[in-house]
Amino acid sequence: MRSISKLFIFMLLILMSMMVFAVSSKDYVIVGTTDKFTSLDPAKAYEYLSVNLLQNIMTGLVTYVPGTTQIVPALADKWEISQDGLTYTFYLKKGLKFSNGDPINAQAFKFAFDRVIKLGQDPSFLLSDVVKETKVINDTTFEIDLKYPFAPFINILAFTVAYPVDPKVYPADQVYNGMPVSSGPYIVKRWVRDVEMELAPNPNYYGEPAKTPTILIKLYQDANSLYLALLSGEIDLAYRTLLPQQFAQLQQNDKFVTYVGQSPFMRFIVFNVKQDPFGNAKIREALAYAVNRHEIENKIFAGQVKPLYTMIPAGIWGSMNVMPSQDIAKSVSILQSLGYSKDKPLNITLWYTPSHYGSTEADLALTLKNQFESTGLIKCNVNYAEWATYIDYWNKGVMGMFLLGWYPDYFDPDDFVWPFLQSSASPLMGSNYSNPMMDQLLTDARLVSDEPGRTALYGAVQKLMAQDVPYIPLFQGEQQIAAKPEVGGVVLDPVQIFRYYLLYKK
Amino acid sequence: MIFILLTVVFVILRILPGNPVTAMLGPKAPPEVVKSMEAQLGLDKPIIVQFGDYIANILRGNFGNSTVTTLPVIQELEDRFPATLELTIFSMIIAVVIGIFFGSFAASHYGRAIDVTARIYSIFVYSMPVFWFGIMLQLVFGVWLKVLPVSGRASPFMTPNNLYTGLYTLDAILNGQWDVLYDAILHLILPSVTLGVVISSIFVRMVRSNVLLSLSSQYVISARSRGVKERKILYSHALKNAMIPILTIMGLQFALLLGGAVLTETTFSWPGIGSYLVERIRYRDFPAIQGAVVFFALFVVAVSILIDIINAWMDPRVRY
Amino acid sequence: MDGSSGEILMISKEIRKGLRGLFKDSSGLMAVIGFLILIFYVVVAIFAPFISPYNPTQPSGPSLLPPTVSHIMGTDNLGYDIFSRLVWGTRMAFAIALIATAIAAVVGIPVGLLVGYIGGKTDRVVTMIMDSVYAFPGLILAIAIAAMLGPGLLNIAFSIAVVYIPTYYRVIRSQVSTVKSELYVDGARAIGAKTSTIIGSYVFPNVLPSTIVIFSMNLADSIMTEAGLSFLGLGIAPPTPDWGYDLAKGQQFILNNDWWMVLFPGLAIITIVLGFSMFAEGLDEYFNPNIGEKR
Repeated sequence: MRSISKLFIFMLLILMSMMVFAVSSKDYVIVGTTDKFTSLDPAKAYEYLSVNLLQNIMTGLVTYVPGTTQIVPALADKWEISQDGLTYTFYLKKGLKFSNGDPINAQAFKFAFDRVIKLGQDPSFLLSDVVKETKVINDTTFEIDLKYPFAPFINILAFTVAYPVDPKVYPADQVYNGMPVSSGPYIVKRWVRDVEMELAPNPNYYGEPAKTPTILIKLYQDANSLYLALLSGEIDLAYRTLLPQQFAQLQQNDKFVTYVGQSPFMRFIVFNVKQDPFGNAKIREALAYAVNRHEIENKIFAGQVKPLYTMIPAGIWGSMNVMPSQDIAKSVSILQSLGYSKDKPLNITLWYTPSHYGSTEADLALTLKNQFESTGLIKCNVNYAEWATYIDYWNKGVMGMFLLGWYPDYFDPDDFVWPFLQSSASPLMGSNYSNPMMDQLLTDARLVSDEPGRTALYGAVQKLMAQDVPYIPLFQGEQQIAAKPEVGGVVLDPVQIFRYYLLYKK
Repeated sequence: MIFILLTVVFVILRILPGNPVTAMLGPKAPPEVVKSMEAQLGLDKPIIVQFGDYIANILRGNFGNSTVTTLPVIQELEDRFPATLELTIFSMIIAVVIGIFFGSFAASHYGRAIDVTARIYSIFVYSMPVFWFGIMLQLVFGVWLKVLPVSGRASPFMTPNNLYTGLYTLDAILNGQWDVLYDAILHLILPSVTLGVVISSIFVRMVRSNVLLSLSSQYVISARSRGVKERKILYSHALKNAMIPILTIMGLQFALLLGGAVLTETTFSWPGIGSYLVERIRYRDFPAIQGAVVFFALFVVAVSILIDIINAWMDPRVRY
Repeated sequence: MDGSSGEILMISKEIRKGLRGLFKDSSGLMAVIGFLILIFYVVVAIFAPFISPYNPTQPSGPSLLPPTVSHIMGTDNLGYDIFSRLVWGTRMAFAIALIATAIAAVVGIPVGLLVGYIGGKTDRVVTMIMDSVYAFPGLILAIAIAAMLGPGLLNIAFSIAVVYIPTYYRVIRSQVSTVKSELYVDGARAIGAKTSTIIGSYVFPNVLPSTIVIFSMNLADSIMTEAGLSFLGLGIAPPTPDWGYDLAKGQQFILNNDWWMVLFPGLAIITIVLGFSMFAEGLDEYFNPNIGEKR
């Protein structure tokens, strides 16, 4: 009996070695990812993959030119902004239709906007903070009235929260979980939850058709599985997120092409200034002097991140380096002047969340801990909480010092400073930082409409931030894609929109 | 017994720190929205009322909606159950087959090399962390030899056209898609071998001792003295008698199997209820966690009832 | 007090006889090997500061060094010496296993003794509760509890302990039920001995061998479960050396052919669990031999 089972296994092995995994053809591109997405309702979508998928199956009034931050009309034909910056009037293109044939008109937009505000989900604040009212002027004319002039508003309209939805299909009072109704290049043909999603062309799309008829997005639970899937040829392209050491190996591997692009994703340490001892700006300054960003860059991320010395990452206009590099001596002298010594060290706890930012997070926390302790005057503990508890803890002020990350919702320096430094916004970030001078600078920067004027104001904002140190910016990430050589049309976008509809097989 | 289990689950899950509502709505949610969501989830009522609702809902099959996807938890569990079931069935088959063959062989050669190997195997394999074993298999067969897939249930485009049961192997047959069947089996091999081998350690031991027991029984001794071939004795008598307790063992080991399934599913990215539970714990998706744990409890109870029924049917000595 | 010293003498004579028999038997041999493995690890745990060449929570060499002379098991991705981490990790393994098992025993045994002795309705109710928890997949229960309580030595030990309380309860209770109908217990009751004396002096010593076996098996299981919890990210916060955590970390580097990060923690877990299991198995077979095996 055991010999029979041996024979069976042997035959199976022979069969298996003859099998070729998914053969690539020009008709489809298979994309693998470890991201998860929970909703394709524009009123709720806020995680990276949810937003990314929506950007391929839907579109909005305006969009970006691929590979740039330039805003151009999409569903809108043209638009006008009133002199006082409070009224935006959009003239839609004629004859627009959803994938199911229903019209995309001003009513659909008003329905969508009102719905977003009413449902109050994650991205809803982007509209509800700023929009006072929406009006249907006629079938193809849609007006938005703002509460106050807000220069970056046009960028928000390019984001998925402002996409139109079909009023006949999407309920006005709850989140929609069914098959999406498309306005973009693709429709969702098949959706096996947590496993894969198949996209097919949208016959009613107003613009240029997608380059490849079928896109399959395959979901993997961890980086190892994704990496193996790429190596074995099961997928054509891997995007988010391979481990740094795996991507480094791919860069050396001739069988694959790797693409690296700048990313506005940034990582930083948050100080809850209401918790002892972090209320003391000198202590925050001392800790900032202890950080060695290069060690993090090289040891943990294999050189795949860029040290960041301000809250506005490189690639966004107005970014200016303001934070100091590592200077242990300076850190020590500040701490000594505050009365700390080897026998009476500064006791702090650094928190992190182990899976939300990837499995490198624990290593990041440990490396920072070692850097702080290298001053000889600090005793740093490390603690963790899973994402859900983590959010709860920072809202409740449990964590005094913790690691956090940030993706921009819209591409403007305001989105990197207001949510952090404005006194009514900073509690939401767990920091509780409040400085009336800062508030004034931030408000002014929103009201001014010319870029040079705003740049000067944001310069002042960053300098003030470096003085008060409510955060320690650490590094910004990079976009990484690894693909088979025959995949073309990979465009790395500064706004981090990954467009499947540009992909094709050579 | 089910009731007690459900109560235990309820008690445990309510000591939960971490507000599921904040996790779901995000840090930017205004307090009124948080309050209304709490009311919607029933988290603001006194604990006794919550418990009553909980039991009533379970009886109705209502596990609430996931705070992460807003889908009904019962639907998500239904979607993912076939994956766990398929893995469980195949693992159990492997465990039983190894157990029966290895165990009875060892018993019939008591004291000799094969017997010693069996005992060492059993205790060694039991000491192996199932996820470490899984990783090793992934390394050998997926990375070095490159002959088996190491994650998921199917290659791209290889899901069956119509999901009648959710078991990819069965559905592939029903659909007549032989390439899909082949692909599904390939994906099943490593996870079910991982789990099956680890569970087989117990089966090998139990079968061995049961067969030893019947081999020393009066019946066998007299059959031997009559000159009946050893092989015939082994199969027609010793093994048959050992089968009845095997079913019971299967029932007892089922709980262990489910625990191992959680780790196996995580290691192999298998989209079953085990990985669902682990994933949702990260999000503090309270209804989902509760749903998955209750589901496991019910699954265990259902299997043990099933085993009892089969036992009663098979064993003429048992009368209810 | 006086009667009990006689009993102790009796019991220790039994133990001595048993020990002698241990070495003559294959199952006894297994118990001895298991015991030796355990002693080895206990020694490593106690003398960790002396055995470990480097500080396990500080970089002591280049990252991802394969096993070499200076670092015999290599280093991990932060440059920590793996051998040092394993040595110190022994302490964590024992700590959690002992605390978890102790909690489970301290709760399960007395309840088992008491309820088994009293019998009746209490017996039925408590047994039903215990059976329900026992039937439930242990790891899943431990995961749920650990997830609720969060990281921390005591939390994890507690979540593991809850799973094992019914094991002690069941075995003790069934043994007690058997023993309590023995003649000598009746005799003791007849001469007016207090319940606590009966349980303490008569019932408990007879139940002791099974307790040791279960204790050992549960220690093995606890280490396994803890490794599983760490693997799932529910374990001790770093950088405290912990085998399960190191195993999970090693998994991320396995595709880079950094095999030593997975192999050594895995072997450590296997051998210590093997030690406990062999010890328990051997003892169990020794005390309760299978019929049909030559003895």
